[in-house]
Amino acid sequence: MLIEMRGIAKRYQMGSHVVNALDGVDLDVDRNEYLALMGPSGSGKTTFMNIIGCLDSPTEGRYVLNGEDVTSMSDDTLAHIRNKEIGFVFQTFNLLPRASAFQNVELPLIYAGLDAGTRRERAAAALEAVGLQDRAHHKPNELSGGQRQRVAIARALVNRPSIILADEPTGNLDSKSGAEIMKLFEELHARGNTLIVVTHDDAVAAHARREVRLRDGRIEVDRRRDPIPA
Amino acid sequence: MPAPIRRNSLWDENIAQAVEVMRAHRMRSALLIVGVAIGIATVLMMVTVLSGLSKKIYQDMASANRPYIYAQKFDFVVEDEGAENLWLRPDFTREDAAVIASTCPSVDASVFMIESQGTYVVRYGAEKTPPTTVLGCSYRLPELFSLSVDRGRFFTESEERFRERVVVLAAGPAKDLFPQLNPIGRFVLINGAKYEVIGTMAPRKSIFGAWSDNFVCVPHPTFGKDLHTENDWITLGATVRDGASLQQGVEEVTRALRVRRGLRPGQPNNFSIETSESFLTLVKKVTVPIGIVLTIIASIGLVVGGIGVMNVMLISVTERTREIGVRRAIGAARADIMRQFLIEAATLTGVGGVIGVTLGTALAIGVSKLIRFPFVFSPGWTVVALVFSILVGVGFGLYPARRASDMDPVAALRHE
Ligand SMILES: Nc1ncnc2c1ncn2[C@@H]1O[C@H](COP(=O)(O)OP(=O)(O)O)[C@@H](O)[C@H]1O
Ligand SMILES: [Mg+2]
Repeated sequence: MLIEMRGIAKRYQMGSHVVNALDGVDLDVDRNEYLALMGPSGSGKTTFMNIIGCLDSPTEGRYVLNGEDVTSMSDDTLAHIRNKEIGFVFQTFNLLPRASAFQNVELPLIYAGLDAGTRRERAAAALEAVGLQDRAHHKPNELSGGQRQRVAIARALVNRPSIILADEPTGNLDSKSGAEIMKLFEELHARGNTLIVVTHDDAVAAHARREVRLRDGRIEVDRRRDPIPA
Repeated sequence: MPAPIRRNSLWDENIAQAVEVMRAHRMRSALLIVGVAIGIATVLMMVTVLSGLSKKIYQDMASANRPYIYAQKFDFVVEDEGAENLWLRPDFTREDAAVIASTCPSVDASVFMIESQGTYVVRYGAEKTPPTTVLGCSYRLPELFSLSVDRGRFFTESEERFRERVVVLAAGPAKDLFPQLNPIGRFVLINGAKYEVIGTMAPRKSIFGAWSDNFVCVPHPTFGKDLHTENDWITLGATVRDGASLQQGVEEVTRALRVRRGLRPGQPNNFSIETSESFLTLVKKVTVPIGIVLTIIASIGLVVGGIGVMNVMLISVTERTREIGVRRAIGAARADIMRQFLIEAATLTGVGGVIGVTLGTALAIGVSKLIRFPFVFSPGWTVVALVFSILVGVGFGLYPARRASDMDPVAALRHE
């Protein structure tokens, strides 16, 4: 099992009352799953993603990733895990504006401490995997929205993480670019990657093999299903 | 899982990013860099010039002259003003000099000097000097100040006694009045009277440069007859015989003057005695307050530069909140974020430091040329200035960097 979560809760004290962003969630995810995380706005999807991605820690519950209990780890070790095991893809791309596509993709490898030669090879390969090898030296503002998101995906992939976490990856894209991104995710899944995609778009969710629905910080639906025919 | 290792390749990325950020915010960075550069340049220039100056003064005084005793009306530094009415102190007289010569066994040459309070333009035909000090003195003056006469001769005892109108030109006036001609035997005009030039002096190669060569000497009785005014500056000088100590000389001269002035035991001296060595002490004394003033200037520069860095970095951290969140998400530890912003701050002030050191050295060379003494390059101070500028960046960048590294990555990523 890749992810084992039991009774995960995230509570915020807001003055006199408590906001339960997550309210006792259990989730198991296997390798090479393709999971769509759905639910209305404010239901806790982003909070859940941040906890899965070891960026945020739960108020309650136990989270075992790759057989190791994450809940008790130090800040530095969590940074290391994010670097090695997690690839984040954001709705707003979140590329560094002053760095080229190549430098953006290279950044996780720098934090991983790899030498320049290995970094160059791996970053080039990741850019090629998303079809942007000829845009390596463009700055983000010289790329279209769809291309920027592909650079962000290359950055998420480059350290060969266990899980790719995408929070509304097509939310800022037109439908054609969005479809290209979904096609790319299909390919990544086919190559053995584990994907968790937050969306409230049914067309996007339709690509996934499993659907988890949140409502008010609790899991309302968790079902496996057949993907739409490609 | 293993603890994360420290990664050298981050330095390259951090410095590259720092340069990128500087390029992206040219105005803001340039202002800060200029500020730091000016601060560093000013301090480095002053330190270089002053350490060169004091070194040179020291060397000059220690080597150029034989030690001498110097009596004047007031101390260089008046330490306790209320004790007596200083303006009631008597002036020295030529008899004082004569008595010192005859009653002090350690004293060799005893010299009486009147320095004109104002300055005079000395003329020869159409040529004239800039305003020049006229010194009325005894014939043994050259021994006192180790002056060397390069053409003609100094005046004699009899010329002194008979108040001859003869003059010895120091190197400055000699060159001004006689760029081509041989001056010896020619007559120059001082304050409307004709004086025969009997000698000129060699340039003194002193730190005081042109200024110290800008005077002319006449016998003091002649000066008394032609030029004396109420406020002229009267002093006595004395050298000691070989084998006698300067200290002995000082004691004898002090005693002789006290006797002449009828001072009772316990009454303080109403004159001041210095030696060429006490000038050295004085030079050493003034370097301390100068050092303090420099430290204060440097500290003000440090605070101003430091606040500038802190301000620029705080703006930068706030503007890049999201970037910080992204970096944390892809694996940056707190220490990595901290270091990134520290390197940025140090790069800004470091660039300011490099420019400042260059500028300061150039200014020091310029000033040295202007006041005509040798420029002394100081690698030590240069390194100190550079290290200092980098430390300002690191020191004042600490708080903003801490703010960046303490950010909650989730909140940073939500930041608009
Ligand atoms: N830092 C916070 N302080 C207080 N409440 C928060 C904070 N972060 C999130 N929340 C609340 O938690 C709930 C879930 O938020 P979120 O995970 O962003 O939902 P979603 O991504 O599904 O829109 C919301 O009600 C939100 O207001
Ligand atoms: Mg959300």
